[in-house]
Amino acid sequence: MVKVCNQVVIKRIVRVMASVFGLLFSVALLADTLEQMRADGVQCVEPTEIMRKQHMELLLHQRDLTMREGIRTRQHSLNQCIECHVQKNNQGDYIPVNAPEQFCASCHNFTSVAIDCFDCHATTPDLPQSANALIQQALSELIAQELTLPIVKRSGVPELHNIEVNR
Amino acid sequence: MTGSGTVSRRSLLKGATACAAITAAGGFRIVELAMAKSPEDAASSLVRWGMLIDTEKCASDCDACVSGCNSEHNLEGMGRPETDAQWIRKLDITDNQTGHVSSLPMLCQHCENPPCVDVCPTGASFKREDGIVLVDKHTCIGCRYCVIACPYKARSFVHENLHNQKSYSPRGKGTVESCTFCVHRIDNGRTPACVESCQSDGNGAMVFGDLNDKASEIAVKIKSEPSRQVREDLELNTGVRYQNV
Repeated sequence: MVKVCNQVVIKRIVRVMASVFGLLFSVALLADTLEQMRADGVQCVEPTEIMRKQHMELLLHQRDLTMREGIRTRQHSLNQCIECHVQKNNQGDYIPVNAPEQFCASCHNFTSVAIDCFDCHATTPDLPQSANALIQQALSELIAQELTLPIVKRSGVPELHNIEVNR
Repeated sequence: MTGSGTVSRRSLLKGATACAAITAAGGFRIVELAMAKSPEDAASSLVRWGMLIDTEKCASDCDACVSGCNSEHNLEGMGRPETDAQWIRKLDITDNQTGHVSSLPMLCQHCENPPCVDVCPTGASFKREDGIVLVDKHTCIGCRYCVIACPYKARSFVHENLHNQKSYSPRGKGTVESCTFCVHRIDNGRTPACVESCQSDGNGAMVFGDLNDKASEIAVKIKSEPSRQVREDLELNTGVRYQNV
């Protein structure tokens, strides 16, 4: 019976496992926290009075920064608004924020102010899909990277020769 | 994680710290993440994004880059090829003297001196600091001067109402659009969708990177191997270059 006693390989596997669990755990924790903040009704990115009067100015400013300069902070971004304020129906699907009675439409219909944001912009977040895709990509890259690296000791002698034979 | 907002914020920070620590311990993509620009940083003129396409590797029957782009930006066809939006397309070009056919993808060339920006009457067509040529659809009036001015036929006009746009890729009727070099991905340290598709489903004919970074794969390659710009006579200094045409 040949036993491969290779600490480097074991350490590497442990490291991959730790990273995978860490990644999944922290993503779950972040998602939980965001969900909790919404449920708690934690205040919006600015006080309500400011948001009511000036949300359009904040959005206009942010849109120029993002579009022209590539500054992608999320505090005043339209995507962030949608991610927090979108509702789900009984089936768990997102309801567009500009649908009647939904967050944007409820005030804008009442005040008779037409908005054309959603002629072009998405009305529901695509966060779950893209987050999943990101995690999958990160995991596959991580595993590929760890598996393809040559295993070399400091002296430069490949560690795979370090095999003990137990009879 | 009970009750008040301050606790939530604290656990958010804890989550982020745990994530950072564990990620660092795994030695995972540290370099790549360090290279990516942080969200509050503006695009820098020290960077010039570019692409190198090897037409020898690009197969005539492969359209992985086109389908990759279409699904990334949800460019659904309306079944009317003459007016459907097209950000990247495959061309077969024949040498009239020899009959040799090469196949290549044609997209916005992200010129240093873009004609589309010159002709735009509203300033909607613009070049970002890092060399990416974009349309600000908020100010685009749909006059289509840029569509005429572009020597590469890279721009499309949206003729019809659209639905199901992606959150990172807003598109709408009455505006002109073209390849953005997947600017939403670049700002997060990733490569454009076409390059990713070409590597995974195609023949690995596309290389993307910073032309100004002497150590980048693309800069090393264009220094050591010959490459050409399409219509180099126009002196637009394109960001996209081709090999073996």
